[in-house]
Amino acid sequence: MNAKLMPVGPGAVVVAVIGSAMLAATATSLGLVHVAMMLGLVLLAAAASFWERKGICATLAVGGATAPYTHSLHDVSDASMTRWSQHIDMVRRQTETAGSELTRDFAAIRGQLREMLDSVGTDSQGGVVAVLDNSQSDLKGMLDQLNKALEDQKPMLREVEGLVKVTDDLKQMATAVGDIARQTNLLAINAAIEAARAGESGRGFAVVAAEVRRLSAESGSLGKRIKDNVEAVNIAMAKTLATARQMSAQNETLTSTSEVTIKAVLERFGDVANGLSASTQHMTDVSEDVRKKVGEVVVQLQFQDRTSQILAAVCTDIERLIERMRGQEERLARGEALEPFDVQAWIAELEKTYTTMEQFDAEHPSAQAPVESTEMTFF
Amino acid sequence: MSKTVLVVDDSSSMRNLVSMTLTDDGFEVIEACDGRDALQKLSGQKIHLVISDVNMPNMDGITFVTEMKKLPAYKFVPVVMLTTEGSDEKKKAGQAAGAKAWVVKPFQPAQLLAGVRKLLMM
Repeated sequence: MNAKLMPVGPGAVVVAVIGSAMLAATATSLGLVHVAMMLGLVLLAAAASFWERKGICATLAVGGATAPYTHSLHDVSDASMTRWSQHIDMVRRQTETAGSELTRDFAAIRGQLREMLDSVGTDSQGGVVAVLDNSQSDLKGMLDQLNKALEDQKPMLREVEGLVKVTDDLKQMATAVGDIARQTNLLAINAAIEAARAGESGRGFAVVAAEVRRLSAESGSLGKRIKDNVEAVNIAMAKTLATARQMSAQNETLTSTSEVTIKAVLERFGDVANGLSASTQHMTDVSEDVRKKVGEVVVQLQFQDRTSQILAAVCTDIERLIERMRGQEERLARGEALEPFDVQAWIAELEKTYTTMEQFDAEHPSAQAPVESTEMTFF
Repeated sequence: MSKTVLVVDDSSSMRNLVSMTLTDDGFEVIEACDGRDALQKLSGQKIHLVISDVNMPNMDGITFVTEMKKLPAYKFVPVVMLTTEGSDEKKKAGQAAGAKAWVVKPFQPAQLLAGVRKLLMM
């Protein structure tokens, strides 16, 4: 029976299985607690292997007194591995629950962050910048209209100035009419004198001279009235011109002051708009940075799915080992020879449960690096 | 009108991450925890695309896709397999089942969205 004892004991298989799993697990960003636990499992397995080999040596030395030891070894392995399996599964489920909570919270935080960035970001600030731009445009338009109104007043002033000149001419003309009337009156007086000197024959001429004198008096009176009216118009025109000039000057001053004020306001608007624009750009940059970081975190948060699958494979294999050992125990109880483990076949069977590439490459240095995402393959 | 995506994964954290990625981009999401649950969720639902894991309890992703493709209403719904599996053998099995694309976890949100949009011709 001693010669048929397992050339490689179950402890060695456990060492191989758990050691492989631990390397795979560390390669997938497990926490330190998990790594420590895995290390503990490996040490326990190594101890089992050690005592198992010691048992084999002792068996070789003392002959057939191996049954109690073998039974106890199987019992302790069965009990320990059952617990290891339960504990690994417990860790897997706890990690899964925590991972699920973590991702849900992360999604909620991400949503709130996105909402916040949207509310204070591009849209609202872009709106303010647009309002400022529109205001600048409106104020510039108003300034242009003021300048245009000022320009439009100048022809009117020129027209009024032209009218004043015309009334001056009218005044001179009225004066000329008065002079002509006086001259005509003098002529009429002379004619009347000559008519008196002519006696009876000049009586008709005297009547004409008197009529001419009366007409010259009326002409003189009319000329004076024209002159008076022209002077009144001239005074009114002068006042209007003075008022128009004063208003024009005031408008010019007002426009000039408005221009300066509006330019100052526009400059302040421009500063605010530039500040907001820079702030908007900053928010856009921050938003983009957050988006990239979220992408990275999403990748990292997927460790739970990988570690869960790796640990599930370990649990499955431990349970398979327990089954195998129980079978051996039964064979031992029936007094049958124990079947040696075929480690290569065992590992091959284990590898069938692998679902991640790093499980195959656990001992390769590349498996220690963070897991990178890959491109999508289209069929 | 937003498109609806059925996300099938036994890991709730994976479902959360995929759902977050899709809903952030304006998609509607229906979640299922395995193939069997996914088939039940399909009934009567208008689904534009499916993202499914491969290794799941009760019914795995390959079987689910095979069964879904037998249903006339979902025969032409594009399927993306999202899994830790990366072997050519598994990929061929997914392709044979009717999957249109294969992504090995961990996925990059931007890449997944680009692939989904490409398959939906958006």
